[in-house]
Amino acid sequence: MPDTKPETVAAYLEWLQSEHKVNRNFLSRHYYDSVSSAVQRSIDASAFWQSLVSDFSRIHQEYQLDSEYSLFISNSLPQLLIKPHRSFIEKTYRTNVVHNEEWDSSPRHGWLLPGNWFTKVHDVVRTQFVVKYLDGVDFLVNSIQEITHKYGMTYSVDYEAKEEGYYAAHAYTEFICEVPDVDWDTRIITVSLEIQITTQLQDVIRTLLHKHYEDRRMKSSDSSVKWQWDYTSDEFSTNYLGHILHYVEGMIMEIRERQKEVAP
Amino acid sequence: MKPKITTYLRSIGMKKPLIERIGLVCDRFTQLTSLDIEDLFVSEYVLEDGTRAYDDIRIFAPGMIVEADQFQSHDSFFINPVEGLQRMAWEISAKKFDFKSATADSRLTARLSTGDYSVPFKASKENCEVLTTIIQKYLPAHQSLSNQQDNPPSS
Repeated sequence: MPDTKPETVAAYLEWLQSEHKVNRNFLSRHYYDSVSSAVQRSIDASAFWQSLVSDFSRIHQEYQLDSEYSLFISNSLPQLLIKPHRSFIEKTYRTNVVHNEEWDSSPRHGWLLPGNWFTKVHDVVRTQFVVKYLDGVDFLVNSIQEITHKYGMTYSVDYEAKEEGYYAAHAYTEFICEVPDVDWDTRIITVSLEIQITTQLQDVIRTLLHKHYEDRRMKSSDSSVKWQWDYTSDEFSTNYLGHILHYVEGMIMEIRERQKEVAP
Repeated sequence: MKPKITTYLRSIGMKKPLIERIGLVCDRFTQLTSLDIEDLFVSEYVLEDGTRAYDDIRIFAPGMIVEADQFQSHDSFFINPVEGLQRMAWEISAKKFDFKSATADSRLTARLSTGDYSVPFKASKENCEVLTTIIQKYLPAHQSLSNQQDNPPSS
């Protein structure tokens, strides 16, 4: 394996073909769209998803009865979203190369390659819920867990708290899907559905910072200037804004709880 | 949408909702370009239970190939102007198909390429005959499809 790291995504794609003998057809947008669409359709037709969509109002009402507040900021039903091809390839690039501390050996959990990357990349298909209050995150995490249990599905949750000021719960459940191969065959793979649950303030921050997160992710982690000391940078103000908003949301919850205690 | 296209879509087992979606894509294309759709092909494959999964649409119009990937959920398409479709290269693989009469087990994949641009096609059963017709139409005049029965896809 040559010691020269691919410095660009284009070089990375060449590296996959030369070093790992990856058929270039597996790297194409067409193939990715074909597989991701098949996964999306599979999840959409699943009993779990149908149940989640139909229980949307019930979950909202249960929270409202319990807390006297609205759970969601909108009555819009959740949608299944597909990660764009470019973002997917960049994610594999970051794992295999940019953030691979074992380079030029495989990353700790192995190379991401076409034979496994639809399974190992957990957000090819995702959905998002935006709740009004911080306690809504936990409430929804538990409500969704009940639905996965009903159908005997796996379920795991990561409570994200990134130093960049991003706070959200990422829940995952798995599906067995039949997807096309590059030729006329199909294959059975396990894929995850990522369920992002965040608060309305964090959602605003994420929208503002999305481009910034994308750029930052592609940079190596050994950047010489830490953003925490670069008070002139956009990162400094926006990242700390994320932390401040999370704190404010915690304070709002505290006030809500006190009001509950005081109320006759 | 032309009646021959609707007939084609029904022949590959497509039902009304998807036919209407394809009709929408065709209407939007013609509204945007004022061009006539010469050929339309639906890339599809067969699942283990024998049912068809419809993948993408390919539209051939004068001087361009249009791709409507994820047409079932997306109202978007990609127009690729190509000069001289007959100067493009075809990569073809067939299984249990003699390029004449298809059976339930027939499969045909093709990739149309020029330089950096390439677009895949996938056909099963009777759709193999439709793809063959398209390939023959856009092959250079002096070329012909050779019998490539049971060829594995190229790696």
